Amino acid sequence: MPAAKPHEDSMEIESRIQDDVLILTPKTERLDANCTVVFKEKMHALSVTHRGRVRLDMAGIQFLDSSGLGALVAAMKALGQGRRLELANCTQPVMRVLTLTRMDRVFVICDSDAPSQGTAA
Amino acid sequence: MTATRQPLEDDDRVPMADGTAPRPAGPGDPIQPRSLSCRIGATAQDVSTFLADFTNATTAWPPDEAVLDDAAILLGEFLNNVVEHGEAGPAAEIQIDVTLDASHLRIATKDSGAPLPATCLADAALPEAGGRIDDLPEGGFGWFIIHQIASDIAYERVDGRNCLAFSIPTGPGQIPALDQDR
Repeated sequence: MPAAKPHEDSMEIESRIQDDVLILTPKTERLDANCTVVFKEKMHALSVTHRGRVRLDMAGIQFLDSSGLGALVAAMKALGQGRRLELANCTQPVMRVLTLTRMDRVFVICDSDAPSQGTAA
Repeated sequence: MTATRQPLEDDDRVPMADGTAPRPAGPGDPIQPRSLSCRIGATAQDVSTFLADFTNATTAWPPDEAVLDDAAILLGEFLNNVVEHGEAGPAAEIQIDVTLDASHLRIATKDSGAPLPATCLADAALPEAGGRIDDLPEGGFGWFIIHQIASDIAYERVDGRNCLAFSIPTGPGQIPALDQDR
């Protein structure tokens, strides 16, 4: 049987470290109520041993709902040490939800994948 | 949650309001409807599938992409609210009708869940964000988002069902005149 399309139970998050920044890339187009549990679990498992900055590459996410937003907040809280989760390459629909809820002021929104050295906020 | 549910009558396809045959709303779908009707199960997965279908089915609609994005956001918030708080049960269905006219994208839903609390229909406030990361809210955004997007919301309880109507302004001059086909 061919592989099924990505589903709640099988959401993949790619992980790499670039210039000491942990960059996580969820392999899903939708961060919504249907996948928040597995998203939070995987985010925690991938980031728990990292002590530095954590960036989520959002380029592939076409849809974010309030449950997905809550999962992003939970993932940031789980980082601890007062670290802010960085959201890179957000698409228009994602930015719309972030700005509507004013959570664009809570996360670090960055435009590119390049490390932004010394941008204290 | 692995609750089984009854198969949907429409087999998860999108029946078109203009009478054409139901078909999966996938990329490259030749239909360019300006209204669509659909009945989905009251589960998070059904909602997620419907929203992806909705986005695919409306890519050729005339309004600005931002209007269609807003419609998908609003539908997602409302439908997930029905799933999570409506107590409709996994076998329940939600009827969704979306129509586009000269000035608004109009969304009507019917669900057999619990009556909607009046507080949802009042203007919703943004949850308090506070200064500390540990104090940030992880929920409570849904109705705020709905109120931000919808220009008006009408609610009726009819025959044990919630009947909601939302409209989203499409902006002046964006929509060409429509055929009077209904």
